[in-house]
Amino acid sequence: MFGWLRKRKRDIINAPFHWVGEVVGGSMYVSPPLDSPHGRAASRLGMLLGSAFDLGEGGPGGWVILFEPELHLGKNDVLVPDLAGWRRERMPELPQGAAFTLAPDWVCEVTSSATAVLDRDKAKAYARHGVSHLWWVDPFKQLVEAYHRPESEHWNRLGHWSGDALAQAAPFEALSLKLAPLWER
Amino acid sequence: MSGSKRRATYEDLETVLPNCVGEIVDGELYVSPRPASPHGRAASRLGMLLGRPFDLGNEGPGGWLIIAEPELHLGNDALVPDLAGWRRERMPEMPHTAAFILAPDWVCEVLSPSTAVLDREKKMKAYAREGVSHLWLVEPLQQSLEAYRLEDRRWSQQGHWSGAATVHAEPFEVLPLKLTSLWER
Repeated sequence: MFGWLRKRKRDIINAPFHWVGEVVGGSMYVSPPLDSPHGRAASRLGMLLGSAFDLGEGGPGGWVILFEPELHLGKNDVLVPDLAGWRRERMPELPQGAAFTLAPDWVCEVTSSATAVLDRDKAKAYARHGVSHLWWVDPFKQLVEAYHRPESEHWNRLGHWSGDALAQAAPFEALSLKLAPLWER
Repeated sequence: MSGSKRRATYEDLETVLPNCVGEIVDGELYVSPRPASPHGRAASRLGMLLGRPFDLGNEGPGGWLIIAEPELHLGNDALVPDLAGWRRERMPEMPHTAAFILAPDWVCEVLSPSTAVLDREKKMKAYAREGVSHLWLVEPLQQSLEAYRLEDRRWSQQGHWSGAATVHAEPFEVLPLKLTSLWER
C-alpha cells in the first residue's frame, strides 16, 4: 500500500465528517469538505462544461467529465480532483472499478488560500502523471486560471479570467464560459 | 447541533483509509468506501442533466439551487447525499457555510452495493425525519431510478423506472430524463 505520513494532526482531529483523504507523493493529506462557495463553483462548472462536452448539449461532446473521481496514479498518489475530464479517444469506456488508473486529460481544483500548499503539490503530481491541462478556480477571488503542460514537466499559464468575464480556456476553448454563474449565490 | 452527537475522533480516523466517506446518521458514525465509477458517472451525469435546466435555467425553468455532495447538518445527523436541491424560494441566497442546516427540497442518493443498506434504511429515515420533500434513489448496477415523495412524514413511491426508460419524476417532472445517460460508459 502507500507510505502514510500524517500531516497536521490537529487538522485530522478537527476534521469534519465528510473529509477527503489523499496521498500525494506518499504523504497523506486530509482536507475538509468543500464549503458552500466551493461546492457551488465546482457543481456549476460541472454543469456548464458537462452539458457541452460530456452530454454534447450545446457543445461538441467528446469527453467524460466527472465530479470528484478518485485517481490512483502510480504507487504514491491517490488524488481526488474536484472535477476531471478524459477525452473519449483515451477512455472509450469507463472502468468498472472504484478508482481510475488512467490519468485525466484535464483536472480542475477549486482552491483557496487555505489549500494553496496542497494544490501546488497536487499540481506537481498531476504533471508527473501526464495530465495536460489544469484549471484552478478560486471562488473568493472569483478567478479562473488555466494551465497547460506540453512535453516538459512544467505548467505554463495560458490565461486567467475573473468576475463576470467570458473565459475561453483550453481544452474547452470551444465554449465561451460565463464565469458569473460560478460565483452566483 | 446537540452535544449528544458523537464526533469522529482521531482514533476513528486512524483506522479509516483515505478512499472513504464518513457520515453521522442518527448519532452513529458510518464510514463507507468510495464508490465505483458507475456511481460517479451516474451522479455526475444527473447533476449535469438536472443542473442545466433547473439550476442554470438553460432550456428550463431554473428556480433551483443544485449542489453535488453538499454536507448537511440536520438535527443530529451529518449527511452527504450525492446531489441535493433547494427551491430558490426557500434558499434565495446560498449561505457561505461549511455545512447546510436547511434541509433540501430534494435529495438524490446513488446506491452502491456497499451503501445500499445504509442509504435505503437509515438515510431515508433521516431525510424523512428532517422533512426533505422528494427523494430519488438511483442504482447504476440495476440501471434503476426510484422517486419518492414525503407524505405524512413517510416516503410514498411515485415511480420506479429502469434501463432505457424516459422518466418524468417529481419534482423535476417537466424534464424528460433519458435514463441511458446515467448508465452510458
